Amino acid sequence: MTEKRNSVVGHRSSVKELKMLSRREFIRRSILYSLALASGNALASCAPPAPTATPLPPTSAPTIAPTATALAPTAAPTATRVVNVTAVPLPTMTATPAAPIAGEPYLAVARGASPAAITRAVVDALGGIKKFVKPGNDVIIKPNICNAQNTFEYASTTNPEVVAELVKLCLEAGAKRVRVMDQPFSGTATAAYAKSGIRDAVEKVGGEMEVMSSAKYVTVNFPATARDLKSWKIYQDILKADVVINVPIAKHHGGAKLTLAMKGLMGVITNPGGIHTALDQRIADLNTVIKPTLNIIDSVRALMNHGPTGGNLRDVKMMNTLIASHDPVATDAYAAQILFDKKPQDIAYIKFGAEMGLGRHDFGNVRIKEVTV
Amino acid sequence: MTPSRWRRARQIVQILSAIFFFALAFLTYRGFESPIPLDLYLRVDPLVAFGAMLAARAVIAALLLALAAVAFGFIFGRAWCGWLCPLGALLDWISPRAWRTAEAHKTWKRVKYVLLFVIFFAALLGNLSLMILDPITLLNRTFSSAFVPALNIVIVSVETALYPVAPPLHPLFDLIEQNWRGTLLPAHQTFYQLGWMLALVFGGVIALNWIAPRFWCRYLCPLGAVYALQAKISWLKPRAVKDCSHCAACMRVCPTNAITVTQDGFSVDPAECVVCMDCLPACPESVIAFQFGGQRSAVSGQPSAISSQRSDVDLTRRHLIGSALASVGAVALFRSAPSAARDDAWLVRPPGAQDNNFLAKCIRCAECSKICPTGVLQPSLFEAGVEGFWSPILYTRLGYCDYSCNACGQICPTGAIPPLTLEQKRQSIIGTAYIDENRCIPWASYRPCVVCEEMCPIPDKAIRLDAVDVIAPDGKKVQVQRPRVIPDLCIGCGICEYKCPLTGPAAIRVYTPMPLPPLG
Repeated sequence: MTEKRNSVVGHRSSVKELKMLSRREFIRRSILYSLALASGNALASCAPPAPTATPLPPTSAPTIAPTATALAPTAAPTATRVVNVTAVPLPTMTATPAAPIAGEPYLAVARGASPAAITRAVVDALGGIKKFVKPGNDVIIKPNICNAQNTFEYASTTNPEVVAELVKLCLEAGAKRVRVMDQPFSGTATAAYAKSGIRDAVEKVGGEMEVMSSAKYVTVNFPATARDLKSWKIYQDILKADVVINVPIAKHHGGAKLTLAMKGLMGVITNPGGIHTALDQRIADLNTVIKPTLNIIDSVRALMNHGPTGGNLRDVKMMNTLIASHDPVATDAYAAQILFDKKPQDIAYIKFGAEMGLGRHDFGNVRIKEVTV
Repeated sequence: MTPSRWRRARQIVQILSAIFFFALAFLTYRGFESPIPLDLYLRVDPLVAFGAMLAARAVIAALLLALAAVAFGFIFGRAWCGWLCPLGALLDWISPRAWRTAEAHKTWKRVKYVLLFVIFFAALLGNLSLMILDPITLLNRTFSSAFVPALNIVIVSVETALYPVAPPLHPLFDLIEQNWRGTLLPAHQTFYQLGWMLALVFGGVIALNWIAPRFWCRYLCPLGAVYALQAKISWLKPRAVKDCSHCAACMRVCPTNAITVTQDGFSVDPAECVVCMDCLPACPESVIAFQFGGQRSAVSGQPSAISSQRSDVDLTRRHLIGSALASVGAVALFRSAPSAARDDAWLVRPPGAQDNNFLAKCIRCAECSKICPTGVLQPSLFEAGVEGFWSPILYTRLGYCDYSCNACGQICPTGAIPPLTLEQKRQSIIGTAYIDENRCIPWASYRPCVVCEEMCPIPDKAIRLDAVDVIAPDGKKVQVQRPRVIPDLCIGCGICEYKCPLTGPAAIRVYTPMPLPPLG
């Protein structure tokens, strides 16, 4: 009798256990599977970008002479895109360079003691902010915020007044929102935004600082015009924004000689250190995909030596100048000449950019407007 | 309050205390400025406080709050363990459903005292190696070097996967990335050399619960031993306030097996009782009460059944002498190990710590590695010898000492890392970088690379580039820029090593500092 009862109880409890087990098992398995998925993704996102084929830089000067076609500003590089099958096919950039129309100047230079006033003046000289920003646009302004150790007086980061005035202009033109972002290469973004003075200046006039999130980088295939880079990870909001305004500061750089607009775009890709073994070519290659609406080189102050990090006021030179164009090769070429007294063709990435048809580095027959405020 | 209310109160306090501990831990990612000391749980930890003061032969003002904890111990016994300890809370929560009440290891209770004595004698000799066993340092280390990096991987992976396909979730991702990153979460993904080891050790501490409930607290925890010694004479004691029917219900629920019920009576070992009060509602006749006071019995005419002197495992002189000898032996071995003769090449200490009698001050609490924004500060393996196991060093391939940051010295509770100003920290030499010309890209592979020079934060650049014409293997003349370290300017921050694009070890590495007299 006892035995029987025991067995019944045993049976019941084992049925109960079976039921409980299956529910627990269900929960357990769902958690396990989702964890496996998550860690799979984690591993995938930790993997380095697909390796590119030819790290060897050109060791002798390429022989292609600048031709008429190379001089003309190119508008549509996407037509000849070759899709690399190993990488995810990806969106092209929404923003496009706003080329001059009907007698507008190709490049503008503004000089004056007030950073805000010359910012407004240089944009006005190119046709006014409404030419670049339409009502309802989503705008990203990309300054150079290089580290968390120097205030803007050391000229390692873009002038906060210039950035803030640009935010103001975009909002006046009816932009839906204006975000400001860069990926500093040392220190945290939060600390660097604060130290540079850009956070305060931008937030005061209604812009937003965005900390660039590692979750938002996407692999992008480069068009056939890119000579070395096949694909790299780029911040997707830069690709999606209606308007991207690139506002680098003019600085000395040990490897590339100068860092200006073309090189500043390294701030919106992952692993910028990884492109250094063919730095000049790859800077030019980045510009085949990332094409800001407008480039403005801040040389209110310029860092003449010990760049790009800086830290010595004696390396800083007051220039009170802004140089703007839709063409980053042109801004860089012009800045190299007038700010640093260097020939554009001696800066390899400027030369490559011109050869690849990304813009022009000679100013023989273009209109340049210079204003002084 | 009714008995079950007391238990409920204990559970609520325990939950709040654990939440508070982890809130402070997460808030550390904001930086060292905080209205509440971020290291509060360490400051009220008598083991680390007095251990560090003994070893360092100094009064450490920030840790004097531990005097309050001592007073607490003399009043409430081991209530810290049952009410406040965050590790104790985790051990209560993560445990098998059915506890085995059998206790096979009565004598193991002594282990925690032996550990405590060894820690005490070692501290007298200026050694703090076993502070790795303090429950707060244990939790801190596991949190910052294992849990948070793994948590961050999960968060970023989920975001990366869902960002393109789930626009409705974008506000949530923005909240995490714009508002929580750098305030509640680390600013960047960090990678810890010993993350897996710390997780395994922590998992082991939890897993011991399957041998006996609160195994760690009862047998091993040296902080528990501090409170246990105090509990023997503490003011608050559980006692039988009326006749006990010897049903032993209390004995069955006691998680630390502190209660013994026999035909002769009911007795509690106060050194084992963590004042959890689970026994109060378990007693069908409400016999047990926690009361303040000395020997007075609450029931007139009834001799108090409690014998606070009772202890199965009284420590003998032999234990004391044995612990002292073990400490002397261990410390002597440490001081005769290679690490004592010559610094390991990779022994790169936090700024200011190198010549600061570091190992006699560092309690291995990992606050510094938690607050380090780049994750360069990590628990060491044997770079500082066995003696310095899990003390912080810089793994400069996994992070760098940011030129704009001096947080580690500000948060260090013992002053092992001195609280340098930013200006002092920038002058403080933590290591020296050397270039491996056999692997460096411009030196060995004839291709351009300037990353180390570019990143060097020293205003005049401690790395310079020499333009040299060389003949490449294909016979062509190429110009390369070869980096060269200026040792007099290098402070060893390690950003060059961290950013070096080579796979594996960098071609520029930071070694333990080698300060040289000025040239000429």
